[in-house]
Amino acid sequence: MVTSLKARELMYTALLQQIIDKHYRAGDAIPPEIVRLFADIDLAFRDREPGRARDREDQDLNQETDFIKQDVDPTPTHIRAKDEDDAVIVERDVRMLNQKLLDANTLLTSERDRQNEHVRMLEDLTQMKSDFVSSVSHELRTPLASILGFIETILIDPEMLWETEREFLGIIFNESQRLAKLINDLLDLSRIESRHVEIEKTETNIVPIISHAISLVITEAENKSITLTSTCEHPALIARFDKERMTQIIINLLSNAVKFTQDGGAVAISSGIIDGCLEVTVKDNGMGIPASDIQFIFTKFFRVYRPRLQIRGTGLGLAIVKHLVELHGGTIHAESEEAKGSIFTVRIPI
Amino acid sequence: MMTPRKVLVVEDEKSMQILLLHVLSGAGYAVTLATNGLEAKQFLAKEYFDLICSDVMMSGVDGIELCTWVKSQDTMNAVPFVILSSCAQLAEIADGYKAGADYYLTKPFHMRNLLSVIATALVRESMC
Repeated sequence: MVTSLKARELMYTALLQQIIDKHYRAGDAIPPEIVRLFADIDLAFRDREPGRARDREDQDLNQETDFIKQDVDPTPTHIRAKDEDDAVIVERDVRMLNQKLLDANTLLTSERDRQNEHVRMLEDLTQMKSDFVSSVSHELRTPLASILGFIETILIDPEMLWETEREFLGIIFNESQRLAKLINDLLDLSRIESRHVEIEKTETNIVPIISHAISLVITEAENKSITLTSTCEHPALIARFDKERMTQIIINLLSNAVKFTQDGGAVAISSGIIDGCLEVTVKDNGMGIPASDIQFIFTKFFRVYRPRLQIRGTGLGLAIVKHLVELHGGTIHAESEEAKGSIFTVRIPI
Repeated sequence: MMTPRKVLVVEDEKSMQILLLHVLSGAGYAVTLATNGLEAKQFLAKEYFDLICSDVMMSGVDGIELCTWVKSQDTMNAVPFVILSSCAQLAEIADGYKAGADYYLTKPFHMRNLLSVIATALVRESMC
């Protein structure tokens, strides 16, 4: 195919433009490498055709763009030139430009894949958020249904027995507390995330903190006949941490362990000083976490999909725990095997 | 005197069980309580109920599965099925009706609403 250099140039520019149009939307930043390619094309052809003028370029434009639309194989076959040497040089340059276009295409493709990946991530996040709203809504409605139902029942029955009324008031009280806890968790996470939480580190013995945490989850464990044991390297393990927040961390891990362990299972907590760190480990022989999910469990809103298993929670507990551990300059690590159990290890520098 | 109509309540939440038992027995129904879908199936296999009131999120057989099962049985597909659930998203409610539920009340609901829904359902059923 015999074409003029001018046509070649326009063809390359148009091809490049096509690639850009295909991969980018208006307003997207075009990588500088691509922008440079335009200049390269311009330069390469200008050197070959020294005499060309601007006004001629404009004249030729219409007839030559028609040619471009024919979607021609850009591989150089034959180029009209003044002499043989010139033709060789032109061909070499065109080949080089071809290579550059291929490189540009690879670059654009990988850029597109990256953007698609980003979009997918944002879509997942939106999905997670709406799941979270749905989950919070469900968790709020459940205790509210009892509270409102019992109040209505008391109100419409003026002859209700005093003992029945007392019993119902007790339930209303418990359910209200449940609501309050959920709201506290939500606010807590939001405060932690916006960095409005201060950690007050004092030299404290972890052992009574653990005992206290156990006393708060023992009823939950007993209701499911789960054995809860605590082993401690030493009667006094002193480290620097925020007493209240540490209690919160341990309660959370213990109550999670109880929650995700079947009736009659076992939960064990142990603590010690290892490599200059206070180490607290909570181990259970419960349902465990699928390997594909373990990397996400500390992500807020994330909950392992467990069909037909009613386990209370908002997907906030572990996210709060991780934030709190990190505010102490520590780390948290999870290991798990499905149907075998999970181990959560918290390490905080002394 | 009319024999009381028999209502099967399927609910795993302790406080809700107490509430529904109190309200429905107070309204003159003979209430049987199942704490999950599987238990409900066992009750339903043994005796006839005039109406079923069920939660959705339960371990084992959930409310949707129970409803689908009930509506697929020749002996009980006409029994009114009332879903009481905290799942209040449109898609979730649609799932309930798709499973064949006759009524879907989202928690929290008014007790007098529940009672009128049950009364209506029983009248409609007896007219069919």
